[in-house]
Amino acid sequence: MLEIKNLHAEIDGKPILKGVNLTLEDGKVHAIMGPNGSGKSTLSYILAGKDDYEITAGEVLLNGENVLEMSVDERAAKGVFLAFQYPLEIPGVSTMTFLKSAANALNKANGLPEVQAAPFIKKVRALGAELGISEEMLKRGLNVGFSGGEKKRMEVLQMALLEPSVCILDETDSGLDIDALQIVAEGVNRLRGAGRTFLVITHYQRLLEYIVPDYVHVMMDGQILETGDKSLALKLEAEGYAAYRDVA
Amino acid sequence: MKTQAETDYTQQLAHTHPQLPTSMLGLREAARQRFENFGLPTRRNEAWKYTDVRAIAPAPLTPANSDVKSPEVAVEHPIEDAVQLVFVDGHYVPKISAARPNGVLMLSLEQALGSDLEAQVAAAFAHPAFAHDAMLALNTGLKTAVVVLHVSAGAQLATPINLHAIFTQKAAFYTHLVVIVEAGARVELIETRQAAAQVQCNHVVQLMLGEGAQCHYHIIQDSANITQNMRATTIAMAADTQLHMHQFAMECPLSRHSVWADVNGENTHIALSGVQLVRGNEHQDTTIVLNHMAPHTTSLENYKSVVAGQGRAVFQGKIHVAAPAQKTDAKMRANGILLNEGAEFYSKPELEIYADDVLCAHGATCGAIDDELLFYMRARGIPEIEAKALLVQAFVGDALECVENDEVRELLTQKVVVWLK
Repeated sequence: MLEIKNLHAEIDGKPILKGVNLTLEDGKVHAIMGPNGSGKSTLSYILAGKDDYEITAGEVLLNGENVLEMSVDERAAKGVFLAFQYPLEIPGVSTMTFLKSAANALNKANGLPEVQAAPFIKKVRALGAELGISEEMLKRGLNVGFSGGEKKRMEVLQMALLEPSVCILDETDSGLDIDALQIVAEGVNRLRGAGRTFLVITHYQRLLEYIVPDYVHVMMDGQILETGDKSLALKLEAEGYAAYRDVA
Repeated sequence: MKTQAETDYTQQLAHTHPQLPTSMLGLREAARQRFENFGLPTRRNEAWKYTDVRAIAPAPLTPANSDVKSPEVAVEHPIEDAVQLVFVDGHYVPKISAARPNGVLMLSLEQALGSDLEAQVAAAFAHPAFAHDAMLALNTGLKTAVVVLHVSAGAQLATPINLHAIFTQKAAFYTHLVVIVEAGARVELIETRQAAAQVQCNHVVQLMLGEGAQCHYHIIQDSANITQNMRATTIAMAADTQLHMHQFAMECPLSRHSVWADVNGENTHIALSGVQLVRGNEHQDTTIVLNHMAPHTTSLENYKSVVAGQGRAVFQGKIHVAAPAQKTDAKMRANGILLNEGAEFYSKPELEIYADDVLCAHGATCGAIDDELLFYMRARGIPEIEAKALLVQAFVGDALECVENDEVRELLTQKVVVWLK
């Protein structure tokens, strides 16, 4: 369970999060919707440990442990995974090398043995096949020469491979056509299940047709203003965020 | 005012008997006079702008005893898939070397001058760089050993030759290797070194490629015992030749590699690449003057420097395209990564172009490791140190990929990993 309590954060003295309260239940999919600038991506970066922000108040607890005191890689080892809105290209580091380094780092941190090369490669290729990522792409530098959609699929591949317990998807639907969106959503849906929590950040209801959320939260001006079920997303799609602006 | 080091060198030049044949002893006096005029290079000398030898060079060691010794020495970490030719304290020692491949001769300077190679060797010794470089003057005037490696016309050497130098005594070594690759021959050379004592090296390599010759030349410098590593390479390429020279250097307290490459014939291709790993108070400098003299030639330079601690890396690259050298295609890239505050990288690209139908490009970058990339990798669980190491490997990998020999490339990749630990 991930509990975000009264989280305040700012960048360069400008407040972005103004008291976020949110509890992510194990095994559930939580969607956060909100207009540009509402603090959605900031929240995802702060959960992953990006140090561009100053936390001025509040706490984040993962199964009772204070996440904010952990380094970025410690958080990953505890099962926090951020699927980036803009995944980075790493020329010269082959995808397979990158994935193996990540898997081994996580295993090491959790007292598990190193991965076995042959079965690992087989597993990566199988996941790649499910997500439409060819073996040729796996040989390239990570994300090098990938289209926007391919990069998002690679994020899902990493998520499937590293089996995190808290998956944060930061606008994974941005820049995807409908086919790519379906592939990504199917990949995510395969990972749904007991024990794994999803935080799906999106502008649009469209993604939530494919990844059906258990809860929808509305974020405006650095706060969660309303929580509902999937019908809330449809309502937002129809009515927009105007009603919340007055509240915020 | 002479520095103490300059006075010491002057004394050595006056009293050392360089290993030169009687017919060449005039070179010694000329070298002595040149050094007298030049002194050690300083930053006022444009070619040495960032390597002020006068200010930073340690006291000169005594030039090595010229007696040919071959004490019990063993080659550390031999290159496996190569014919090993071993040099001990500058001298080629056939007894502990592998059999020379067919088509390869190893000659003393006297032997070479007494053969039909005389004109080529004399041309090498007359290279204009000798007239204006103080470190070359020292090499001439204090010469420890000269070896001429000859590859006969048309010889196709399937196995690389590993020129392995072993230094056994605390001394300064002024060594000189002339490599003549005759027309149509193909050879791959791998230079490695080990030193049992602290030594200073001043090494000159002169590479001459006859028409249609192909050569791969790897330089691997990783012995911290070579406390001063002065190196000069001259290259002369006839028509239809191809050369790839790759240098890899780490653990160099003070290192300078001066390269003068002359692309003299049409349809030639030269690729120069290198990796400089610098840390602590180390200083590494690669300075290249590449002359395109003939039409339809291509060149590619790709150098990566990684600097940590208070280290300093230098890359100076000058591309000169002479008026007849139309259709030259020259590309030069020099990139540096600074791993911490206090590390320095100096890059000076220069283009001097007298032909009007050419493609010349140069790019130089310098920066720290990208924080965004680091965050991305750490968000996948890779600890910071490991993530940095992967990114540095990726950075130098771009230059290492220029090395076609799988064993050498793998060896160098492993050295990078060890260096990063």
